[in-house]
Amino acid sequence: MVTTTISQVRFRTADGVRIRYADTNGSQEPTVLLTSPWPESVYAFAAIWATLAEHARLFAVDLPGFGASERRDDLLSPRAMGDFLAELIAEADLGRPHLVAPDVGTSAALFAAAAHPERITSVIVGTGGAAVPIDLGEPLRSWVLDPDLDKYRRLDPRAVVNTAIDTIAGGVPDDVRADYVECYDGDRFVESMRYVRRYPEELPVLAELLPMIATPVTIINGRYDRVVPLSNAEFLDERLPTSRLVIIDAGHFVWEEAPAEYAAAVVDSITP
Amino acid sequence: VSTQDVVVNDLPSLTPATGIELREGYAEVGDIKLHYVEAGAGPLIVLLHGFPEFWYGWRLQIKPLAAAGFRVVAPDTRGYNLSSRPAGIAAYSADDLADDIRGLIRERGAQSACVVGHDWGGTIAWTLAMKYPDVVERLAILDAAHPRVFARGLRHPGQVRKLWYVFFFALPGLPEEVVRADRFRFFRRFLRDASPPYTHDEMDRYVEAWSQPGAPTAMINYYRCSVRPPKGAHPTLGPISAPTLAIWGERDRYLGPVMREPDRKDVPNLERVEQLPGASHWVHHDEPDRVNQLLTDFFAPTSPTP
Repeated sequence: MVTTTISQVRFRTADGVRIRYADTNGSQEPTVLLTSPWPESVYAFAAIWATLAEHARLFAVDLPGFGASERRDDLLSPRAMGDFLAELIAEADLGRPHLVAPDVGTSAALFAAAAHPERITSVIVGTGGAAVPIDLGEPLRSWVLDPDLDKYRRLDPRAVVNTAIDTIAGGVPDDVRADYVECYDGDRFVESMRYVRRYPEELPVLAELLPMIATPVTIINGRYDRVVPLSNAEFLDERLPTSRLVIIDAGHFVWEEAPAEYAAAVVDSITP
Repeated sequence: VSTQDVVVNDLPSLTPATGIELREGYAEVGDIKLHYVEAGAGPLIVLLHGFPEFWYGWRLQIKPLAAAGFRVVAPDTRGYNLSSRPAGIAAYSADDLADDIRGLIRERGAQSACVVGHDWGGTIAWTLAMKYPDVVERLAILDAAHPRVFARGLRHPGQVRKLWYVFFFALPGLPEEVVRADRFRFFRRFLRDASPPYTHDEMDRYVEAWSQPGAPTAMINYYRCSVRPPKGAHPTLGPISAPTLAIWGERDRYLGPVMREPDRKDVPNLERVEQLPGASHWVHHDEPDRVNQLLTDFFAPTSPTP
């Protein structure tokens, strides 16, 4: 049982998929929709939840196929996930939220902003694959580019997730780690790889769309991110017409390694 | 014991001391066969290489130390180059690696030795001195954090960044594939900040050692076993009684300042911590004369082994 500061974690259906989400409810404006990073879950936001909740209604979701949400294979691509986000915003009656979509959410959120600008006030992304040609560090690079997915089925997903989480400077609470491990147990890790394996096909499409995205975008990246190097954030910043780049002294998991700085950057972006 | 001239016959050109022969052999230690290179006569010094080296990492120490009146034995530690490679992660615990070296010292006809360890060899040496105080007369550690300091350092953001590869290696399966690419480019890059740079010939020797069947998995299993110890492989820490010398390359890119001072209670007889300016993690390569002098001076009080 997870005992972090995120309360009201529950399940609902969106776009026909059973998803796990957390919602502070209330009538507070604005609304912030957060999408969980990989291989993590909504509990990735535990350390920033209270701070952000002072400024906005929070609605955090495990994207389909990630965290504890049901997988639907046709949604496992950045572009399809972007459409899912637009559908979720409508179905959950979130108004016109700010979208906080780190890591794998980066490309989905930008596809959403390109296709459904009327549904999104601003986008806060980063630490997700974006650059063309692909510029990722190991192990992500192999997960994206290795032609053979099946060999990854033989690996212990618990070891993979635990190892990824070990790189978080300062660590995460045991119950949060346990949730991450459980979320990707069985075939869920290897199946979630299908999403990033669409990068070679879809990131070039996204790159073409970037100059047309008028939605304000904040890109937050760890200076020392080895998995998704800073070049990905710079790639976005160079092409987006209304972007701002925030570089934080941290590794990949900025929201957990430097929660105060990450939360401050988000608050800064959603405050008029 | 077999002699493979092909392995050692180019050493005279690489090492300064003349008139000293290198002998090569295999020591049977339990189920494990440890390959080693040996030189000289006198009190025993055991040189334990680190990742991703093998006995050859000590090529600039073996003959000078032998010339100073010591018998020098430099093994390939378990899993490396020509030594045995037991299957599984649990076979690469620091405890088992230390037991190998205790067995090697006995097999070489000694009860104890002066022990020098670099990097992973340092971890083995720390463990050996902790577990078997009677086996380690004097302990010299090159660019290797004490296990307690290392564990603490892994929670330090700056160190997590420097040691990112430790976590990468802990992943199942993938690292082996990645490291093999482009003639072991991944491993070669570890050696890149050595000064002077490793020559093509030297690098060829490393690539040859890494190309031994199963060697990359064994080398990586050291990390897997350490990051996520299998049941029963948790090391226990205790004070080290041996007089201890620590040598660091000041430019060590992997182990920063927070890793360099062991706790006094763990190493009560720490005689000095020597930081060599300008030297990298490969301090025995970068500053061989200085390192050899420090070792010779430190081991001088040693009485001959029986």
